[in-house]
Amino acid sequence: MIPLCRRSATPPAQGRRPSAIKVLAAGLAIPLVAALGGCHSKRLQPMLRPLEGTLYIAVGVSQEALDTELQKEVRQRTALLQASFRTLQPKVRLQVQVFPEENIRNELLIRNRTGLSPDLLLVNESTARDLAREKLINTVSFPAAVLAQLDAGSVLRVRRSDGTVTGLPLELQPQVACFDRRRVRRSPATLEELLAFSAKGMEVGISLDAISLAWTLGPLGAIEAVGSLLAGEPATPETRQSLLGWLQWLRAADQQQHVTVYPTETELLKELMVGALDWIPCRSIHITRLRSRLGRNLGVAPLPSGTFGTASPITRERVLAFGVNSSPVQRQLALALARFAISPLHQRDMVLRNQYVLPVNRQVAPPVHSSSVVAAMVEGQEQSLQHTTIRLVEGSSKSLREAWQALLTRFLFDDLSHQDTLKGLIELLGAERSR
Amino acid sequence: MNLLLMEIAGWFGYLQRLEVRVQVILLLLVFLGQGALRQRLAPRFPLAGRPSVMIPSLLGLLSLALGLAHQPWGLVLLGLLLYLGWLGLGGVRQVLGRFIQHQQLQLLETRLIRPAYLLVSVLLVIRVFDNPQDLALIPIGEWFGSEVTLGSLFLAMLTLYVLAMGTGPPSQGVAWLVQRSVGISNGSRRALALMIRYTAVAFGIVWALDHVGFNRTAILAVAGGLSVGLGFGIKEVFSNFVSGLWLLFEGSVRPGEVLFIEGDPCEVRSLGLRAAVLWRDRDNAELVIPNQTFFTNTTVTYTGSDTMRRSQVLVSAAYHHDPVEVIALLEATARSQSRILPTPAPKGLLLHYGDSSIDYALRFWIANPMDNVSICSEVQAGIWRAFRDRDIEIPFPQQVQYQVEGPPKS
Repeated sequence: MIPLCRRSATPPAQGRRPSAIKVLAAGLAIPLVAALGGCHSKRLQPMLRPLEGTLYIAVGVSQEALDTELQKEVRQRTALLQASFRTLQPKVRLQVQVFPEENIRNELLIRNRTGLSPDLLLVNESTARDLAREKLINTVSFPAAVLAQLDAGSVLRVRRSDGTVTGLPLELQPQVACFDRRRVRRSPATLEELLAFSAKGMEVGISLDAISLAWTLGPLGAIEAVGSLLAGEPATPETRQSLLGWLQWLRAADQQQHVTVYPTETELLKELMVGALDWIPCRSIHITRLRSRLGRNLGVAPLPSGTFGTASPITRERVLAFGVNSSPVQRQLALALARFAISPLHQRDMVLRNQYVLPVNRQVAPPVHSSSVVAAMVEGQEQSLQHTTIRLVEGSSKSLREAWQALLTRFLFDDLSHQDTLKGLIELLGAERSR
Repeated sequence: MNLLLMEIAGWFGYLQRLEVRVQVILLLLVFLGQGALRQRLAPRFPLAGRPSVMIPSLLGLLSLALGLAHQPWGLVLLGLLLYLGWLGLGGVRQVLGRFIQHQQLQLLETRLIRPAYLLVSVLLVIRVFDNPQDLALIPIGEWFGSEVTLGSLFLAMLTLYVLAMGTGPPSQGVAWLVQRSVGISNGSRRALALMIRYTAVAFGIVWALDHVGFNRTAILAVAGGLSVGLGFGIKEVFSNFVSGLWLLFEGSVRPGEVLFIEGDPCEVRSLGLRAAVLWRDRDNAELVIPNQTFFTNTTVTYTGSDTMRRSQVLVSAAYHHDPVEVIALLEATARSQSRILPTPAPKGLLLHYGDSSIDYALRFWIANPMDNVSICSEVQAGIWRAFRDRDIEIPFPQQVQYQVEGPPKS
């Protein structure tokens, strides 16, 4: 006969552990059963029933810019999107996670293996391309009619040879000049004017980050040189000459009393907000934050041109990419949300609500006549389109950008001569192709 | 706060995914079903009867199977790693046990190592479900005029906890170094260690308030209001705390000191924020005495300027013995005891003439006040033997009673 109370022989100390495990297990089991129950009930609903569920969205932002303020902005924008989208799908909930854009690859490497990858990723076009190459996101196909609504250049960049896209273009973030109207009446139109204004006391801030500094390559005639080196072409005397000219301008600007060089764009923003700087190049998405601090004193204008042409700013293209672990319902929701986000309704709403991005939907015309800020953004976008090779800088690796910054810092601190910096720059840009 | 709760509630949305549900179910099955499986397998394979073998094996096999089937396996692997880490803490305990005393190791393990491991585990799980860096930026309210984020509050609390619990060994190490270099006493070393610890915690509190970003003016205003509250409400607690600090600086009640409490010598074991813990040799009792008591009452200490104690035993000898001879014998007996200090020399004294004997006292000095009772016992036993060898009589009171035969007849 088997004794009924056999378990009672277990010492009390040992008996505690299984009970703790049971409590933990019960904690996990309750939501699990609830989820299973939810699945069961869904099958009983009519087919026309709206989709229901949680959609996980990962938003990539630059590492140094990630703070409470930015997180608030991202959440507010998502809340607006959720509110609009709920008119179509009332039972959907968006859960946002903000990650440094540089870490998204590593995040996905971990999350894809756990089944917890986001359903949608709002990232730069170049990031989406890299992630798709490593199969860390799913490429998707959209009907031609959907893609036909969008900016042709943006679609071209996300389209793959098999007809799928790495992500759906959502918005454009051009680079413009931001300044404090109390100190600067008019933004300089040329680089000569920029130095002349700074000589008269205008505090100018410039970032050495490759993406942020690329706008100076066009006016100084170095853009083709950088583009050809990044494309793997050998350095020619013309290439050297144009790069040398660009370096000389940088040195001359740095030697101005009222021109200060900073490592990243985030520092520029902070300094402009506290009044330490009067004029900076800035990305349009940051105008919201600047405006909250400077109010009507914030001025926005196109970046200055130069002897060799207009400014060559990089316009960030933000795309919605698709994760690999979504459930069928979540995938349906993600596709529906993406299509909603590029619809004229939402794109117009996005521009009119002063989110300071440009629409990718061609049916939405930015209100350039009613807003000087939007006009400056549109001009910034047009400047980008004039210098297509500038996109090679945007697509460059993080290590190249870090090495670029380190090299220019040493140069501006007189640690490297013009010739040594030029040699280093050519090696650096040339090596990117082989990488 | 709502944002945080909604964020946490949102994690359960992952259960919409089949791959996640499968992993969670497998984890539940392993942890809940391993007991039954062990009971079945144990008779055949004794090793399988141990959970520390069965659980990792099952989780490892399941991870492998999911991986081979090209299914997500990260959650099962995470469960395996966390369980192995928990088992590994046993090894850490064994290694530390070689260098740290059992009692201290117990405290270190229960208050620092295991909580730290649990915290890391929770953060790892959150790291998989969410972005801790992102969560840290969630504002949880506006306190004292500044917006407090989850991350800053968590970091401040964690720092305080680690300082309160983990600064013991480092501060003792610093105090030991000071003792080696300056030559302070053991009591001073312990007091120094405690003061270093209090200082670290105090700086930690200031740093934590600053890190969270509390408005200093608001804190001062609140502190002003609180001081009134302290005066009425918890003044005893506060009084004990301040008394403890004062006593530490004064040096009269420090760990290692010997105090006379209710007629018994007691050694101070620790001086806490509220009370001091003293050990009584007589019955191995620990007395928890509020610090304020030492601050307001007279305290008898044997370890104020030195640790020596002057002790004495009383003895009687019969009238027919020469007092000089008896005193010499008493002093010689004391000198022969190893635990009695040679200097100051033991001193025999004739105290007074009693009813049936002459009463003597033997006074001597001992190094450790806590040994008084046992040394007195040894000395008295030695005196008995010495008196017996010299035929010195220890008289006992004799009384002759005469019976009166009733009242006189009238």
